[in-house]
Amino acid sequence: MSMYPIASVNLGVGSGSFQFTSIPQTFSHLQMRVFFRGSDSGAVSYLNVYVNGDAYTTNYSVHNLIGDGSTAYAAGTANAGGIGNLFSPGASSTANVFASGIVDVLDYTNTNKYKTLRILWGYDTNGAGNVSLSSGMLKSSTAAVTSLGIFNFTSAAGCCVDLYGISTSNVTGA
Amino acid sequence: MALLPSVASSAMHGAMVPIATIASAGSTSSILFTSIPQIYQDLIIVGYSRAGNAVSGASGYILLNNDTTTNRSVTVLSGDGSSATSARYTGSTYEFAFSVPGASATANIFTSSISHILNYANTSTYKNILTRAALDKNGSGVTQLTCNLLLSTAAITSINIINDGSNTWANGTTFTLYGIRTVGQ
Repeated sequence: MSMYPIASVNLGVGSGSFQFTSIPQTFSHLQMRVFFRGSDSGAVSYLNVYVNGDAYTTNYSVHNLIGDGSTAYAAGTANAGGIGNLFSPGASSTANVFASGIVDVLDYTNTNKYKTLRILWGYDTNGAGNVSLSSGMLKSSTAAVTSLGIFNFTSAAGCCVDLYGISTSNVTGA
Repeated sequence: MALLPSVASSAMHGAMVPIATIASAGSTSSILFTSIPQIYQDLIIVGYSRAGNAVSGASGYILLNNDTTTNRSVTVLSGDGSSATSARYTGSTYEFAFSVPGASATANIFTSSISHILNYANTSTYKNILTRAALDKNGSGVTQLTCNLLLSTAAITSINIINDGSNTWANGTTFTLYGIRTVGQ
């Protein structure tokens, strides 16, 4: 199994959405690695993950297992607009602290299965923070994943997102 | 953004590059990676570990840049087979990252762990470690997700993995450090 860099982006300060498009269909799995901090005014900022441009709909089923430093709890949403509950430090949080997230999409080129994403996410601000294990399924389509991204965010300087392809055979000839 | 041009260049190499592997023969107390190249986007540490001291369980700590100040914190999510808990520890000189079996535990049982350090060469952000660990002792055990914070913007040039401060790692313990290339690296 090998891992290949596909694309990288520095988000910069801004809000809205970002997605990797035209994802090659030559790998077995995808991994998106996210380094994020919000620039909105609160101590906690939020973002959502979305697939194939499907955002702000009711097409996702999401389950989260979350630890906030004192309590472990589970959450779920049956008809979500994206894969959320991904907490990150906001502008009034401890300076220079970012969240780290690993988003895995297995068998993303398959056209006979709904796609379920697995997300490891976490941050700690030296007194607050969250870690979470999440799953999110796009239940509206079995189409191959050709775009993947995040939306409904307000990012601070220094945020970056990297996309990788995971192969189970030598797809590149390298 | 369209991806195809970058894929062409990335096809020349894999993204996950092994940097070093350290194994303990039973007397090693410190798994120390030094002179870490500053040419990757992220680091990953893959561990298979067990403490050598005569206890049923111990804790693994990951020290970045061998920093033993109290400028650190960790948020922990754990499931022990019957309940899920969360905790936070701040201000200690050695910060918990994952649980490991000790020498008194059933033989041949190890903890599997994968730790991610994103943007490790950056000099303007504090460093964190996102670790997923699993330990099952056939009747007890724990599955964990931890996020360690070090309040330092220094680039990570060394990583020291120890257990409960000064005890040894058991024979068979291995940690492998990987660099993760992004596009253009």
